[in-house]
Amino acid sequence: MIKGFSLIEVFVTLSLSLVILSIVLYSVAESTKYSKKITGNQQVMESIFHTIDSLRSDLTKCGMRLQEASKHFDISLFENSGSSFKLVYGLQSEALKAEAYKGETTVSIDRNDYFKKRKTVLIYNIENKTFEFNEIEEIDGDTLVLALALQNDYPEKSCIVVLKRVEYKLYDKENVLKRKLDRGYFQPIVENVSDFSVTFFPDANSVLYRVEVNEREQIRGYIFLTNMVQK
Amino acid sequence: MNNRGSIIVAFIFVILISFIGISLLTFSHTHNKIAGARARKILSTGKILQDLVYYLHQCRERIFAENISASDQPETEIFNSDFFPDLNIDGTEIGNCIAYEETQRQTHKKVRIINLIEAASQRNNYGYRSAVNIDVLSGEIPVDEFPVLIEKKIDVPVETYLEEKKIKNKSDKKVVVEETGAKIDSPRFLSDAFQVPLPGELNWEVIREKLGLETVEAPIEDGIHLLLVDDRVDLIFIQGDVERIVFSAREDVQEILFIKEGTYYEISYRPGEYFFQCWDSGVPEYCLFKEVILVNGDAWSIEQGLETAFHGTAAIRLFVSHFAVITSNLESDNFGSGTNMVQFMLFNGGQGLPGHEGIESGIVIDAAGEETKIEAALISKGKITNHSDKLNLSGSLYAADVENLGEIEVTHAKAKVDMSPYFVSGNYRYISNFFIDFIEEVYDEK
Repeated sequence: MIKGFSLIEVFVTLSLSLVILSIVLYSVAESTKYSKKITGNQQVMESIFHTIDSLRSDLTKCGMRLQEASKHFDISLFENSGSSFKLVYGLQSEALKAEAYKGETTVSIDRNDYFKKRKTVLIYNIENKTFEFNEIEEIDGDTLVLALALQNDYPEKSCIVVLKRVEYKLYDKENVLKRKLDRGYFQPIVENVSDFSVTFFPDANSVLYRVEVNEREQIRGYIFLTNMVQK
Repeated sequence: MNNRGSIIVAFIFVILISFIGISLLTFSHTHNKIAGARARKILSTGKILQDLVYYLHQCRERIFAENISASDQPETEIFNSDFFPDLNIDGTEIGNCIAYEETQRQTHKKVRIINLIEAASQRNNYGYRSAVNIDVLSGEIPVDEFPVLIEKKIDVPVETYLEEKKIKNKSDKKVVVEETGAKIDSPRFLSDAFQVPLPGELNWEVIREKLGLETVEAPIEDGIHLLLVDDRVDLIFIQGDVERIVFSAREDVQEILFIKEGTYYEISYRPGEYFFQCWDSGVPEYCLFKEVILVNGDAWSIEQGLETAFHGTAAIRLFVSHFAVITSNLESDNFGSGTNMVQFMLFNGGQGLPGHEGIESGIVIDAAGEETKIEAALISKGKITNHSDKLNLSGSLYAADVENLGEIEVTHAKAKVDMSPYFVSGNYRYISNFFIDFIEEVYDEK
């Protein structure tokens, strides 16, 4: 009799345990929910930051190494339409080491790591008023084998620029903003995008961008395209 | 017993809460570290970029303020390491590395000064790199390299002169108003057009022989003649005044209509191709027209027939010995797409054709309407007179003087055909190009 518990004691103990357990479980559930909310928000903010950093970096480079060519030839450096835009810039430029004639498919340069197979290149000569786009098919030492035969003659010291094209596009149905490099596929960069817009001001060489995620977090910015100053 | 049970429950509770709290704090800490690093990078790189852009801006101001025509070799005497000093702007170190590239052209040389500028912070590893290119032309420079070149001595600064004349320069190149000793070598242009070795040998007898007329030393009768060589039409020669010259771009052909003494003469051709249709049925269709038209007299109305005057691939050179009057817009169908170069070159005046010594010449723009758009290189040994309210000239303008009764706005564009050695400045130095090739972060994705 002395060693056991009375029925009332057991009921009271169980009731108290149940109440305490309920409080603990509720607290844990609330804390987990709150934790998820905070980490989720932080992740969203990080992905927005990453998107904005990529976007600003790409916009800043727009027109890089194409200043001279775009002044003399009609080369579109920036195009935008609603919720997408594309831009182009030069990764590296080199001078031709020897003359290249119309119909030929090779040009000679001091090779560097930027000139890679399947990269798009722009070849131009201001004095001869000629330019064309081509693609590197093979690389053999200092010789670039081009995919297409040259359409013009290019004297020595003509310029060849290896290009990078970047495209951003909002996929409305998926609410995903995607980025594409050169000939690659569109890769998701941020999800749950409820709005994305880019406006180009050619007279001011500036771009106004806006990214909205979850219909809540918004980032807007106005960026001066430093590499497109000349036109 | 009850006390012990409560302690266990409380202990479990504390452990669970702590675990959740720690994981939350750990994530927040990482997030804060990332956000902090990003903010620091943005601040640091922003400052470096700002310092670099400020330095570039200063460079540009100083470059265009230099009077380089006073120097024999401005590329090395002016644009050297003294001009681009290494600096420390409030913790940002700016270093310059200068290189020169020289290209010899027919009558002048072009030296490109390439300054590779590196801006780096003393406090961290961030940095930017930029390249400034300056093209300096020296020698006898083709006149289409200048947006406006007026071969005249003036007593006021160029800016004041332009303001007085209501000429606006929309390009970043300088307008030159001074006596450079320009050479408007019409005789050589004409002798080359007629394929006569020396300009002095161009006389009526030679012209007659070239045009397939009776070879006597007497001026040819008024009319329109073609210089046919094999399967080429080297030029169209108009003796005497022509009332109208109408240029029209129609689909894949260029059309030109000449109206002389009430008679219509029309040609249509595909520029650069062997296709030429002429009023004279005796001229074969399989011909390449070299797009040279010479008028030995006045051209009283040069105008645009359709929506555009010049086909996208045309490069028309029109020489008028006396007065040339433009009475409408003259636009190309693809100016600004393809190449930003003008396709119509109007040369006027100067000796060259027999019996033309001392004849007054000039170009007159007298188009109706509020605004006249002309895409051309206008070169006159005499005066260019504008009667239009507002003339938008895309191209270049060379004259001994300008009389402007309206406004002239010049946007510079070079000519599609090389002007040298016929139409060049005197021995001169000129900054033809300044551009920042790139501004990039030093350690960036490839």
